[in-house]
Amino acid sequence: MRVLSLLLLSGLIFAQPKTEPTQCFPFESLSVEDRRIAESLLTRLLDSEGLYTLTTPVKPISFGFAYLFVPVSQANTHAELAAWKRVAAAFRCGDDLEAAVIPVGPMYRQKQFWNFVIARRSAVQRVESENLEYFAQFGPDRSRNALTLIELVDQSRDEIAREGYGYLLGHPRYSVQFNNTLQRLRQQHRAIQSSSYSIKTFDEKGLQFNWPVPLNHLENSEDREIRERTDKALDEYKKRRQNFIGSDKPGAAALLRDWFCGEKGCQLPR
Amino acid sequence: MRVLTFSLILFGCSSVFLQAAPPGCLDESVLSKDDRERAVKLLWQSLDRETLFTYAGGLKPVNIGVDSIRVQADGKGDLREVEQLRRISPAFSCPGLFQSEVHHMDFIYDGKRAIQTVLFHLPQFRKKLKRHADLFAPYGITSNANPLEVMMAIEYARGGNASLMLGYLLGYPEDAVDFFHAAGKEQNRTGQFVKRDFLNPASFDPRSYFVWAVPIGYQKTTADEAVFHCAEAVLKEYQERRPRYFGDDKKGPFALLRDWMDEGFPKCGAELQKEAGQ
Repeated sequence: MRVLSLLLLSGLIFAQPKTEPTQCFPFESLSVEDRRIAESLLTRLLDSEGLYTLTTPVKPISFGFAYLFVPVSQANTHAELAAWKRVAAAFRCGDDLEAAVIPVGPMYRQKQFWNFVIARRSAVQRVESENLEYFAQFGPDRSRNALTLIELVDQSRDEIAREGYGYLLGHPRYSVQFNNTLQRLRQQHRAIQSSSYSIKTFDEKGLQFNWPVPLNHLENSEDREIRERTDKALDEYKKRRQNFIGSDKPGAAALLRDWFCGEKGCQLPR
Repeated sequence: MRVLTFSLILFGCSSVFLQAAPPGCLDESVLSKDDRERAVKLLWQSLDRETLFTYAGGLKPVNIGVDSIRVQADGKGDLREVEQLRRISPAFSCPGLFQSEVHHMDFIYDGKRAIQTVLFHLPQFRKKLKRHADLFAPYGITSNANPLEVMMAIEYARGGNASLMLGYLLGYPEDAVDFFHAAGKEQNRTGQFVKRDFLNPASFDPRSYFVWAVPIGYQKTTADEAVFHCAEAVLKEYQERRPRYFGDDKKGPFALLRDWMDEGFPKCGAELQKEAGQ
């Protein structure tokens, strides 16, 4: 119920100007080679948990479906990284969706992870509102875009970042708090057994949308609410995928336009 | 002749490393019949897997898990099997070249703790300690440290740089070790699993743990290729030698290793370290 009311609220806040299909994943604006890269990245995103950021409000951000591990000395010359940054600009469909390729985490032995990140601004603002006691440390700022908040969380020390990522990645609040306890005990050289609750994705190997739960945890209402939303989105995606993805088929961008665009223009499903 | 060659080894002529089995080297004859049978079985198992790459030239400077036993962490279990493992472990060693040890692990699962064996190719192991001295120095570990102390430092490093220290010693390409370490840290920090692929040079028994993680979509580098080529060369030679030693009334795995050492182990493992400036 709380989620539903906030979704309605976010719908009002983010009443968007009409987005034409040509402005929803406008890959035609890219070069032939960049377009190929963009299609490949978008397919990876949709086959993984990124689907739920694009097609539901339950997962505010996604990353990890595509990343590069790049020596710091090559950050400005790495051809693949440069191409990803170029195509990220075409991952848009109205004002609610943000995408970028950003460095995540500190340097490790002079190398760094660069992640392709997508964020749904309205969903990020929702989790910010629901967890004000945590996000207040970054200062309230309704005009801030989602990627800025991700950067603020990422630059925090580990235990702060871990909690923030939990909320942003769409993990239920009870799981984020359980994970805090789990990590605190580990730091004290103590351990409790845990498991994880997993949401299915098209790419079964991925299992990237999951959150820590106590051992022998049974699905609760928060888990179920998310699973029901994601199951529905996955079923819809599977139906559409067979018509759009594959050789001589229109492709991932066309799939999303077909899904997201109607008489009132294009918008991410709510 | 063996004594002469071994003297050269001790006095630091690196080009003759691995060229002959010194006295008391890989000697199963000192074991009782029961212990010898277990040692022979274990050595075949381990040579058929990744331990081969430690013995035959030190491509893997350290190898873990010739055998692993789980004991009750409350101290009430029967330790006779562990005791036997410690009795036979010296037979897997060779003065100045190979050192075999048995040690406990910190982690307790399901009320039990693992006791594992670890084999060191001493010359390559010491080169790795030297090359990665920045990681080991915080523990006061120098290149002449007792190998067992090194393993204990890693075991109790508790997340810090343990995966880096262990990864380098296990002979994985440095980029792969760096990636594995960073991926673990990132997963711990963000809660998001870092997807990965794996590379796995072939061994006689396909259930080998000579395997390292690489980023998704990764293309093998020259460092990966070099390890693969060396592993292939070692395996090829092992496959040729093995039938002459395996089976009833044949000389067995200890003799295989001693004879191979006399004739010279492949040098690609040592050359790889040299090329990497190690």
